Amino acid sequence: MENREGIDFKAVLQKSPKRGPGDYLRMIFIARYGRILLLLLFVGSILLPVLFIGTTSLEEPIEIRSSGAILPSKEITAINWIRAFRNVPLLHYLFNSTVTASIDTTYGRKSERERKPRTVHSPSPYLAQENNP
Amino acid sequence: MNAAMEKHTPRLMVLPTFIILLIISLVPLFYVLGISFTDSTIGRPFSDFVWFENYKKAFTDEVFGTSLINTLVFAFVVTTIQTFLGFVLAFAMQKEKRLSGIFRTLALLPLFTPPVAIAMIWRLIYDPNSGLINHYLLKLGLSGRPIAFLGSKALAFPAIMFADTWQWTPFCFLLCLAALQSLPKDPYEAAMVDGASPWYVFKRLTLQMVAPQVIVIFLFRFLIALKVFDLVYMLTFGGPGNSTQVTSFYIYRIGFKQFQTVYAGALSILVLILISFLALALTKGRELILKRME
Repeated sequence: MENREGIDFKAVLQKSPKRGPGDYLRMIFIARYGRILLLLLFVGSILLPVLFIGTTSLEEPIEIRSSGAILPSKEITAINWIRAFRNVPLLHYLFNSTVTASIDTTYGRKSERERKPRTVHSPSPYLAQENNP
Repeated sequence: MNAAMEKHTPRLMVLPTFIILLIISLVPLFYVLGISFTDSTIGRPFSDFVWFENYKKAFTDEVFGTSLINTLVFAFVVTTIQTFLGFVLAFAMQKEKRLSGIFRTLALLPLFTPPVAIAMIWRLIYDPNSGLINHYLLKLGLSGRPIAFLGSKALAFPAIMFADTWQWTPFCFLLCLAALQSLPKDPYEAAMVDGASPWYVFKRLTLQMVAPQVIVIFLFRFLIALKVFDLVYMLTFGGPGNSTQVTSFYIYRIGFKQFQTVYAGALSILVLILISFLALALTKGRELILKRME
């Protein structure tokens, strides 16, 4: 099995080393689908618990205690959300958190900006030489 | 203004802040150190000096020993898993340009969820009666009866580790991604021209160049993991028995539930010394690894 240049491809292939860890690595990471599958698994595993808690919040309390399914088996209800806002001053808590986070972030950004060294725009020495030969 | 004044003015300006920071950080430390040598109570501070009695008690305290071992095992296991997963995912993400924005945003989700909320989510998931895992294990016939993940001595600690991995892997992932994206492109182009295999490029270029940053991520995460408290408090409360007892939680229990504040102070000092030595040893280890890699 030689080509025009006289290279025996079969011999080259036979001489090539066995499949090593690099080839598996290439299969996983260089093959786009493998990479996307891995990343989708990662995102899925992150989203699943959040989705579960989100759908659980839309179930009746009695259903929460009896079923662990992701999707509610009976009709959905907003009773838990209404209770959350009615029983405790949740909006006030959210406001407190927002104010604290905003002040912290603004102050942090400001001090970071202040820490940056100022660039002094001095005239180029070459320009000076050109003007005063 | 003379030269000496000009030289010392910035130091004088910083001095008040420096003194305040010194007071805030060192006074509580020395206070705890001071009372750890006494037998004082909340109402009678600095009374009855007992010197090293509290420390002697700590060395013979079996639960403290268990909590120390648990903390070290927990920190080492979760940090290794999270750094490895974070690196693998970052390596995969690095080549994915189009979807990287969405993936990165979604990966941030556990990071901006409060730890108490995360513990609540996992408590619901692990619940024997209404938990997600048990529901599908029973439905698929993989288990004959509900499993009490948080009530079993063998499963409670791995369950906490799993929840912690869910919470902290994105943190390692984002840091590893930043490290990988900051690598120079020239060596890769040179390797490509020389016909290097992907495995060779990964082993000799990527790993070599990214290792210092990954080791720092590992150290950073390890020191954070040693302070685990919230998941243990919310999920198992140190139980069943003392199987999930960790140092922070044990100190909290001794100090705030049993009101043995002085003993809790002595335990805190011991943990502080241990963590300081550990951090020092790990930093030295990092230097040694980097030297060997050169």
